Amino acid sequence: MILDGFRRALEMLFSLDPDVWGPVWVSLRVACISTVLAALVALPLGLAIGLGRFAGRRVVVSLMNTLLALPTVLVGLVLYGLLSRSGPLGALGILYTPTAMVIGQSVLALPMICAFTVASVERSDPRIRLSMLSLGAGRFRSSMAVALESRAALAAALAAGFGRVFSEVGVAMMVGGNIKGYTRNITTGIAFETGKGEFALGVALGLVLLVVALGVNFAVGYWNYRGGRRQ
Amino acid sequence: MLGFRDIRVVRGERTVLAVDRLELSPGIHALVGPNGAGKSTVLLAAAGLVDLLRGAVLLDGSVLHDGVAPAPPSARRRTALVFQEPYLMSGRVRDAVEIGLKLRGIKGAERRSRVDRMLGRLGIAHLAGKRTTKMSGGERRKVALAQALVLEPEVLLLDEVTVHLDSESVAALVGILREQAEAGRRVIVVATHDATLAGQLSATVHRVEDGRVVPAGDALGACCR
Repeated sequence: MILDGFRRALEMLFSLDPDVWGPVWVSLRVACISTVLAALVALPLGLAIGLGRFAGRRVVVSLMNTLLALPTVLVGLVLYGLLSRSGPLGALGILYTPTAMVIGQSVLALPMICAFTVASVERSDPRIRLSMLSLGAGRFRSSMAVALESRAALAAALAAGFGRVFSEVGVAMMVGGNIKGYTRNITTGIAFETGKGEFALGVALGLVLLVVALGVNFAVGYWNYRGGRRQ
Repeated sequence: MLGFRDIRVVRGERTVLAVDRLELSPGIHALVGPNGAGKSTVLLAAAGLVDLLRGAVLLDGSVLHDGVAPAPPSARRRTALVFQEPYLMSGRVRDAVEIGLKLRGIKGAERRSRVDRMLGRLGIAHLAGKRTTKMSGGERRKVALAQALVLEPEVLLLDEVTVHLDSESVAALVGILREQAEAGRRVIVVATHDATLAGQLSATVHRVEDGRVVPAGDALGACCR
């Protein structure tokens, strides 16, 4: 059954079957937008926490690290409560839409990108910031210099955030609703199709999931390798 | 005149710098003393890069730094510091040397001309297009020197600058420092183990011991006591 499933899965992939490529497109679109939105908050926040000196900093870092293990279903549940018709944000009418998925996945990616950013700037060479300050830079410019010099680690943080949301199923299922051609993505598609016995379709979607996840990590790795050679 | 008034710097429970009063007039000053005596901390305090528990660093009567580091950029831009282990931003040498000038709003043509002149004076014009991460220790130090010297700051702070430098480069550096000291009302402070360098620079020597700065007279005396 497994080999037959793989054979049929490859046929579906290469025949550009919309049942496969529709969910792939939803997954890519939602995960990319979520990662970008989360990064817009998480990168500056991570830099501020990593380079800042303030009371309670260790507590904030610990909290951020704890949020890395945030169950996706829990985020989905809370968001469902907020967005459902009787919830405080029900009037927005965005439950079971890609927008709701983007919000939920951004919440998932944010602590991941932020925690990785904090860790990378904490491990960065302290002389970067001191050198920039000694040349007359303000706090912002010197923080930007640290980010620039730590760009390889920050790219890895973004890749980790993307990986987290691209492969999650809890939020997508609970606030996306797995509506075919609209909010069905790779992971909810795998769960649904395999559940109803469409093993080949599940495998096809699983293969794409694997290829994209590996592709992103290879791309980041290659970029870092090229950066290292240029330096 | 660079003045230190009632300065205290602490790390944990330990006082690493305690200077009640120190006045450094325009010219070259050498700080000599053993490892861990506090020479680098004196420079960091003057550059506004270390927290002061109390006291203030003054330049010509105005406060450069008097509390939590870093000092405001406007104050820090009056000084330039070359670290004992300098860090150069990744990129080309020319870009690295231009950073401080860009931060001071110096425009393109003047910036390029000043950078070219300084790289030439330090004998590293050929390194302008080289990547900073592909250089030897001596080359990195010369680029770090160029970064600071090109700014023509009111206070120039140099920490063990001759490490990794060949005798030719040291001679070029001595020439530039003496010229800069004579040209304007510039305070140059050199932290060094090298009493010969202090002699070559005709520097006023101060000995740093256990975080305290005491006048030491001549360079040889400071070295051999």
